[in-house]
This record gives sequence, C-alpha cells and structure tokens, in this order.
Amino acid sequence: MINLLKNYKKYSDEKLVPLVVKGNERAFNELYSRYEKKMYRFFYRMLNRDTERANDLLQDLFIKIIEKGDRFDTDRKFSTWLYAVAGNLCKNEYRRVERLTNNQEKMITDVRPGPDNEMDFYLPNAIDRSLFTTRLTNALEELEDIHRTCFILRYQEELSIKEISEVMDCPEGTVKSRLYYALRKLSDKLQVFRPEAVKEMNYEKQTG
Amino acid sequence: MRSRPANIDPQIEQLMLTRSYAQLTEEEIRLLEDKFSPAYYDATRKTLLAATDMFARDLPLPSPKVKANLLKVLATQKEKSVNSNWWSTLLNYPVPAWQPALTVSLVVLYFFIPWTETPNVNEKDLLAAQETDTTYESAPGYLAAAVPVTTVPVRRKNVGPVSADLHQKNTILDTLQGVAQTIQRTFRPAAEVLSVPAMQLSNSTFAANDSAEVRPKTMEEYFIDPANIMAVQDQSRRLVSF
Repeated sequence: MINLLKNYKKYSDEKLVPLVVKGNERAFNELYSRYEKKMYRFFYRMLNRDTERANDLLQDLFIKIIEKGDRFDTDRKFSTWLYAVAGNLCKNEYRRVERLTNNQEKMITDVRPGPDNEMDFYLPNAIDRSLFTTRLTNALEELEDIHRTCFILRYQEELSIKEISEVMDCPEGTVKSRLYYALRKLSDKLQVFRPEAVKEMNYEKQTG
Repeated sequence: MRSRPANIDPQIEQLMLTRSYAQLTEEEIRLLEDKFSPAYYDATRKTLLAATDMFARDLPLPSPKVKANLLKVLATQKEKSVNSNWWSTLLNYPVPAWQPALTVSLVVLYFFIPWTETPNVNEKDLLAAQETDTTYESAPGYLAAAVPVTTVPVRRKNVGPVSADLHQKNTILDTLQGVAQTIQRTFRPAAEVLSVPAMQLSNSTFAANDSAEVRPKTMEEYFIDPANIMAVQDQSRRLVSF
C-alpha cells in the first residue's frame, strides 16, 4: 500500500533503475516517459529516419535496462550511460546491415537542389526552407558515424560537451573538434545555398 | 593566411546561434577574427540554425507497441525477481567474514586431520587385571602331571589375539568359572593322565607380559600339599556360596 503511494516523479533516474530491474511497473513507466521520445529521436536520426528500426532499437534499449540494469553503476549519470548504450546499439546496427550507405545514395538521388542558388535561408519561403532542410538531412546522413553522433548529441539531444565526451568516451577537446568538422562538412555540402560562403571556404581549403 | 579553428568553442557556438556577423560587437568580432571570416561565420551559422530548427520541428513519436512489448518483458522480469528474491536474501545476508571463515576452517580440520583412537584403558582396569592375575597365581592345587608347556589355557575368553578383547574387564562370573574349574582340576584323581594346563593364564596383556610370575612349573613344584587342598576347598565353597 505504501508502495502505491510513492511518487516516482520525484525519483532520480539513478534511483528508478534498480526498481525497474526488480520489475516495478510504475518505476518503469516513469523512466520510460522520461526517455522514450529522446531516445526514439536519437535512433531515428542515427538510423536515417528509419522509424521501424528506430522502434526496434528503442525496444532493445529498454530491454537492456530491464534485464541488465543491475550492471549500471549508480555513481554514473544514467542519461550518459543510456546514450552510450544507444550509441553502441547503433554501431551494431550499422555493422549488421549496410542500410546506411544504401539509404544515403537513395536519398541523395531523390533530392535536387533548386535552380536558384541565391536563395536565402531567412526568406519566409516554405518551399525553399523545406528544400534546405531536406538537403541538410541528407548531408547529415552522409557524415561519418562519429561526427554525426557528436552533432546529434549536441544539437538535437542538447548534451553538454562534457556529457558527450563521457558518452563517446573521448576527451572534451576531441568532441569540440568533431563538432567543428561536422559543421564544416555540412556547410560544405550546403554551399550551393550561399555562394559567397563557397568562395570563402574554397579559399580557406586551398590556403589551409 | 587565415588560421582556421580546429574546434568549436562553446562561446562562439552560442554567438552563432543568437546573432549574425553583422550583429556582433567589436569585441566579439575580435574573438572570431582569427577563426572565422564573415562569410564563413554566416554559412556555419546558417547550417547550425537550420539543423537546430529541423531537430525542433521533426519530432517523431515511438510506436505504442514498443511500450506494450516492454511491459510484457517487465512482467517476466518481475517473476524472475520474485523467484530469486529469497535466494538473494539468503546469500546477501550480512554475515561478518570471520564466521564463515571459521566454519570452513573447522570443517576442513575435521575431515583432514588424521584422528587416532586412544586405547580405552584407565588405571582401574590395570589394577583389576593385576589383582585378577594375583588371584589366579595364588591359587594352588594343580595336579602333578606331565604337562607340556604349550598347553591351551583353560579360559579362552579375553585372552585371544584380538586386541579389542585385551581391555575387557573380568566379571564376577568369569572369576567364579575360573574357581570352579580350579576345583575340578584339584579333585581330579592323580592317577589319571591329564592334559590339563600347567598354568592359568591371565586374561590381560598386562598379565601376559608378567610372564616371570606365571612361568610353567617344574614337576617338583607340583607337589600336592593336603593343607593347600583343604584351603582351596574352603575358598571355593565361600566363593560358590557368594
């Protein structure tokens, strides 16, 4: 009876995990509600917007929490651990199928940039905006795994540099460097939308 | 030559997300001076804004089936947890380390130390045996006969080679039996050639070791004294009546 009255919303993630491992449904519901969307979107983005695989990996991730959550070191931050496990699931998925490459090729051929290279991102033109977003999405999917993971964790999941370094098990300087190269590559791929930047970046490439 | 940044500084990142190059102050421009050209700053800013905008707008939701499946897994996990709960309680019971260590040590000692059985002989048993020997040795009345030394003792009980018998006490019945046999031997006709024992062996190892006192008697020693015979008779009567 006392157990039913517990308000798990006040519990930290780290306190909820042992309860979930014991099969506590209310603790599980609370933990799931906190992370289902975040983790689903992370998988969705990492798996090139494949909703089916994203659902599968989300399920696999929470099964790992239920069955092997006792391996989680409660001294660590749960979210960091969760993203690390999710990242590993993505890596396994990449290895299992070569869907990423195939999808990238398919998506690139689907997208055709508009004839107007001078279009401005800030113009309230819905079609242009949509085209730019599509191109950006494709460019993001073309990034290397480590750069894409870093970029998504930073700008979609909004983790700090320190948290990303823990998730990816690398120094903070490496994270900053990866973010820089991710942004640079994305900008390179989107240079058709900004000709004056193209000239500048081409110049930097030659001199750099 | 313009030096390019090898990484994104969070401070610059924040500037990109909030202001265009034209909106930057002189101090902020100085911060970017060695890292970004105006065009490159704006291009990167555009990419960054587009990405964050895309992430904010594109919000897919997971399938409800995922949660339904997970709840089934959770129910299974709960069953496992309940089944293993009392075991884990038992195994995780906080016991000081020295207690199980001591228990294990005692078990090991019990099984591996070669225990030796001590002979169950105490001082009383020894005295009883000696007294019994004395009684038998002091009993006269042997008939004169050509008796070989290697005769079989009259009483075999407790005299056998089995070591376990060596420590048994004489009972009153044994004593009475011995006395009765002595009487029988005493009043046997002297003319009869007998193969009677020349000596009465003791029923204990202590007496056997005491062989100097129970050595076989010579023919001269087998002289029958009528007084001794009478004395034995009296003694026997007393013992039988007892």
